Amino acid sequence: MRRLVTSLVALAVAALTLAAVASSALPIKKVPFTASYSGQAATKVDGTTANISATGTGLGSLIGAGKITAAGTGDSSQQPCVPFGGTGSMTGAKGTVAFKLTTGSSGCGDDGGHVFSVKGYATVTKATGKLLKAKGTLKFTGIYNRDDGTFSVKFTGTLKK
Amino acid sequence: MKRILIFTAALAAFAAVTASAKAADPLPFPSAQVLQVFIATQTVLPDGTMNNYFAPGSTVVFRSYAVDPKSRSIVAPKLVKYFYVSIPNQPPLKYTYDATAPGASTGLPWTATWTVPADYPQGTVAFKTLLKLNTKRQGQFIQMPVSTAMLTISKTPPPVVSPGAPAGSAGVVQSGKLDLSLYVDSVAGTRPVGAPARQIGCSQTNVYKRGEQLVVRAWGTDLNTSDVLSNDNVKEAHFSIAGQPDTVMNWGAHGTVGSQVFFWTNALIVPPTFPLGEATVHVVFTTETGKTGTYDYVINVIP
Repeated sequence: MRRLVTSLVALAVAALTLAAVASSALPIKKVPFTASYSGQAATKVDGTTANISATGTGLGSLIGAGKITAAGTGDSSQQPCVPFGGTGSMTGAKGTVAFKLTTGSSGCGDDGGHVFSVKGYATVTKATGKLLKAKGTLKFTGIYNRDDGTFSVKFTGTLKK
Repeated sequence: MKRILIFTAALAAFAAVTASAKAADPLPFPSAQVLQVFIATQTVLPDGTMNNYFAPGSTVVFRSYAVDPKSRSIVAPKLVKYFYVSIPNQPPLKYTYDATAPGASTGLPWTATWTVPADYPQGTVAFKTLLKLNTKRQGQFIQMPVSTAMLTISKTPPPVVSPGAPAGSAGVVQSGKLDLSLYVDSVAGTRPVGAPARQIGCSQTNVYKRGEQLVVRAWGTDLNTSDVLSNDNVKEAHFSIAGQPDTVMNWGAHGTVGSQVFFWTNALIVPPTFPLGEATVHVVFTTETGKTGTYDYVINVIP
């Protein structure tokens, strides 16, 4: 009986050690990611809340050509830069990147509130396909023309998987 | 044949995506990249007061500095083959190097003085500053296309708010090899608090009364890549004034719709208790790659 217990303990220790070694041995792969999209965005102001939605088409590295969709809200009481947050996803033929905008994302308008320069960071919440399990934060920059609703945006960064 | 068709279709799709993206892309001032010698030029009165409205017969001092992108160093006189201001319908106006000259500063030591002819046409003056180094590299400066802040000749210019700040150390802070080259100026904002608005909002000045809106404007380049500083490559930009919280500078569109350009700005209301006299606006840019550039801009706060 004592032998059996000793063997079981040894086996468990060996298994745990192996698992630990295996997990630490797995190299973290850095994946540079860039994407750019353009399309139409809409902002509907209700009081001091700007409800934002956007859809566009473009190209993302590794996920390929596809579309972007995003939605969120902004605080239009703050000028000239409106802080905003929200979620979205980039979808291509070879994968999807879902993201959540981090605090500090903003759109800075011109004097007339026509053209906004947008920037911020997006944390990847889920990735599939060629970017399966990729995590990290991407910087995004772009422009939104409130007059005609057009926008263009670029994402850059290095993900880890 | 099938392969060719697929390739052509893919190319067309890519072109469509690129074209639609380009249509909405920002236009950084003066362009996405500056490969030539970087030049910054301000227009001032002989006492160093920033100004852009001048009457015929008055004196405009152009003051400048330049950075050679190859050596990433401030251009010294011995490196210059020619450096002058080109004014429409006027002979070239040569620069001289003297940080103590009227209107000059240690940071902007090149000056050229122009007495506006009595019959010079009223309106915006599309001047250029042109430089050529002995190494044959050239550079050009033009003003940001915001009409209220461009050199303008008028028989009825708005009154000058003076006296100007002693130019002193105004200009780029760093020496040796630079990572960033910066242009900085300031205008009187259109939204003062507790002070009357200027006759022409967003006109250039470095003299403020308490309650007026100090608007700092800037653009620059990353000398390692030649890229103009924008949201794409800048991690953080701000200006600091002693006793005041830092003011983040924003990359935004300015000018008339249809011909807007993007550069960096933000504003600060001069507090009612702000000390009178000379104050330094310390401008700092930090890029995503960790490079920094700083510039000290001098204002004068008057009663």
